[in-house]
Amino acid sequence: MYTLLRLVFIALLLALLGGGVFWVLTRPGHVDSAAYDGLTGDAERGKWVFDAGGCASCHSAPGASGEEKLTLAGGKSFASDFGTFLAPNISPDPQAGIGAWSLLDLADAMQRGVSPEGRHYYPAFPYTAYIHAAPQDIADLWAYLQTLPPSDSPSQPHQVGFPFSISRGVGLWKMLYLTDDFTLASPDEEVLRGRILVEALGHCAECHTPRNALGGLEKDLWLTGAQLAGGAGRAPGLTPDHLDWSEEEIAEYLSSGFTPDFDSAGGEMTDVVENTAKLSQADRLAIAAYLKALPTP
Amino acid sequence: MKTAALTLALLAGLGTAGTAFGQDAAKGAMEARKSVMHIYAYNLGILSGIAKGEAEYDSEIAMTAASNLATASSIDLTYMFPEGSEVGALEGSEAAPAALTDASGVMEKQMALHEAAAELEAAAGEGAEAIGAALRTVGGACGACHKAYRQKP
Repeated sequence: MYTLLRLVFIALLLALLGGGVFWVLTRPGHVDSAAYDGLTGDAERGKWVFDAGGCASCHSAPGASGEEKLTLAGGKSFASDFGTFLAPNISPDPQAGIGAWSLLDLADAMQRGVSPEGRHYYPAFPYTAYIHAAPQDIADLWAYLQTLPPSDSPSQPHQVGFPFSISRGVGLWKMLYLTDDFTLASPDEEVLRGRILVEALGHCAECHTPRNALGGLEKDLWLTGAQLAGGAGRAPGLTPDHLDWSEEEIAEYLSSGFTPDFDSAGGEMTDVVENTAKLSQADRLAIAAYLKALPTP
Repeated sequence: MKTAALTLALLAGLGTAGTAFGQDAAKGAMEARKSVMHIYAYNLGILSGIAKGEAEYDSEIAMTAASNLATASSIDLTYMFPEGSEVGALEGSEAAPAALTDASGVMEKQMALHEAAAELEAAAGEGAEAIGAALRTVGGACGACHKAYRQKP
């Protein structure tokens, strides 16, 4: 798989380099700064964004639990077909973390996948989901992140081979897969509330939707279940044909981790449940309403 | 020569039997550990129904369920993960490879469940609210073990 992907990417790179368009096409994009003008962050609401977004699950130190998970020192590794990615330090430390950033820097990172230095982040960071968040969500999260403990652990480099090591290539990938269009349309207010939690902050599709050879989500198979990256088993389908639990049962699972049969969540999902348990019951029911509204392919 | 052939045939036969026994043993172990999980689940279902107010609180039922959960949680699971019983190697298995190699880790997680179940047992006589609080700790213990040692095929 890896070799095939390399060849496809190298071929793509060469073709585009030849035309000289590569550099122009792959320029890092930015959020519309006007949307952030005059926004004041509310740290308390930012904690909700933080929990719903699952930030701590990836950015806390390996093996951290309980309160330690609020120190976003980074260092967890994520294996994929493209290489192994290491979550960076996003604590408020001004050198090792993101303490010297501005709100717009955070917005560019989370919603365009671009660093303050203008480099593309790899999509292991789910900016294709976070792009759907509201500017106020980002502002509130930014206020909350400042309240967390700093860590001076330096971020570790990703272990990514050529050609994926050319981060400009990610610019091409973004042309294909970074869009602010939502996947599910609905007139129902509760479903729309769930949509923010599922499609934007919770980034459920990152594990529960299959990917194509380029690592893009197969939107026509949205949330129908997928093999996990790094050979860690399977994330089950969440569409009504796969998941026949009631909305209350889904909400209970997201609160206690218990299924209707009193089985309990395993693998990475235990981290997710740790986060969704911190949301309100209304939020969990909104997630359930969204899942029930999904089309069956 | 005849003896050699006979010995070979016998050894081959034993080898086949050994493999079959190995598969049976792996399957038996998987069924045994799943049975223990079912005992957990059945009693958790009763207690959760009480905690959520779906069933009326009956101290005798609650205490029996909690006591049986605590007893089941003292069954040592560590020897129920033999080679060949992991996910991918055995149909129906959801045991992550780490469950087979890290017996002390499995034991540690199970001790955490056992302690949480003992707390639940103490809470069972106090009513639905106390049961609900203790159930959360038990759920956390379930999740901690599944996070490390369970994997969907």
